[in-house]
Amino acid sequence: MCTECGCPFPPGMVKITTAAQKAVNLVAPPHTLELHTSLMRANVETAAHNRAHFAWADVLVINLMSAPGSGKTSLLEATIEALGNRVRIGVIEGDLETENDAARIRAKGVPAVQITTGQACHLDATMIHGALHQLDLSQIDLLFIENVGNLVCPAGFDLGQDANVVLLSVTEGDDKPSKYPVMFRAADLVLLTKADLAPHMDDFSLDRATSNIRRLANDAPVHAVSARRPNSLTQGLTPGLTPWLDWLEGELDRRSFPMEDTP
Amino acid sequence: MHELSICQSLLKEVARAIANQSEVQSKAVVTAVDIALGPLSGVDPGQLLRAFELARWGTLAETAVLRIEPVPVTVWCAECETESTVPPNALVCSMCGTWRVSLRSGADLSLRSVTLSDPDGPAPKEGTCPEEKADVY
Ligand SMILES: Nc1nc2c(ncn2[C@@H]2O[C@H](COP(=O)(O)OP(=O)(O)OP(=O)(O)O)[C@@H](O)[C@H]2O)c(=O)[nH]1
Ligand SMILES: [Mg+2]
Ligand SMILES: [Zn+2]
Ligand SMILES: [Zn+2]
Ligand SMILES: [Zn+2]
Repeated sequence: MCTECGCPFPPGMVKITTAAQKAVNLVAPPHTLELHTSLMRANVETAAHNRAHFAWADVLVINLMSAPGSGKTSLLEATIEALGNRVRIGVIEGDLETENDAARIRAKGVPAVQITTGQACHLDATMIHGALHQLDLSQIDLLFIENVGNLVCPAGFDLGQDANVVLLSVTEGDDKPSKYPVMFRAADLVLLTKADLAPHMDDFSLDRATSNIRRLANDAPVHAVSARRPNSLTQGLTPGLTPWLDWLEGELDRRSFPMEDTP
Repeated sequence: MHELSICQSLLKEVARAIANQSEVQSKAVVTAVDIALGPLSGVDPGQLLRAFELARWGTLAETAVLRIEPVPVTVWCAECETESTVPPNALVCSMCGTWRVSLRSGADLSLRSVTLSDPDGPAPKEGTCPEEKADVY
């Protein structure tokens, strides 16, 4: 049993250790306790617990982060259109207010849990833990977490995801990686969204955006995509969704290693 | 942004550290909390100090000061075998300019130490308004 939530914990899973307990080391007067404890300890432990849930249910979890309105929900809608009949998708939506985004996802026939954070400008591992228990993970292969639209906070909070995907729309400017280094350093994949608008944005350079990401010592792939004209690659116009879907397929393949299913 | 929630976890860690001590120690009053903070943690030191003023009320650290040790961003270039101190948005080797470097420090967000008043010494002054002390830091 999982002591935190009472949910059945995968057998053979290592119990989460409390690193802080070991780190405490009392020194002589003036009564200073020397410590080396991350202030993210509690969140990191809950994220590890979430990760165990996801691994047990064999779910690939992708955390989508961006500024407000960069196209996270639109990307998910288009992704469900493209993959929905082959891959079982689920979505956890994070917003300050409203059920709008979850409603958009459910309209595509995909289960979605909405987390309304109220004041909190990011999702944390405890919120995700609450949400994952509202989903039947055994019926999901690919779980998207759409984080709160915010380029500052969400990067600091591990949720138990397999990968971070950061969206930067071409209308936001190619200097954003330099202005929000914490976020872009955390990215495992960067999508330059609304690429169909790129012809109108003469000062947005894919090369400059990429070079600003590299200067964060991040070798994550960078791809231009458009949710608006997902099939336009065939017409030679914009990149559509192809690079993103290819990346996702790769991640799904890496996950389905040939092993016996454990009960 | 979320500096208040960071403070709440900070105060939880302080309480935890003290709870692990002997009874005498656990009766002591926290006078200072030392943390290490790097710019790549995403936490703003000024906002953290302000949030701490609010968050410490009613806790063991009610009259404690928060001391923040800023941690510089440093990267290691394996090619040049050089460590460079760099701005948070230019993680490149200062010798050869490559971005193929590894982060050595700068994402730190950790509790380093908790200082307690001597439990046998004079009792801490009652009702000290934390606001008075606030502008020292
Ligand atoms: N032209 C164009 N517009 C897009 C594209 N993707 C999204 N948009 C538009 O951008 C606006 C915001 O899109 P959303 O998908 O709601 O963005 P979001 O990131 O989910 O927004 P929040 O959840 O509020 O942070 C909408 O008006 C979309 O129609 C795209 O590929 N091309
Ligand atoms: Mg959205
Ligand atoms: Zn659980
Ligand atoms: Zn936040
Ligand atoms: Zn070098």
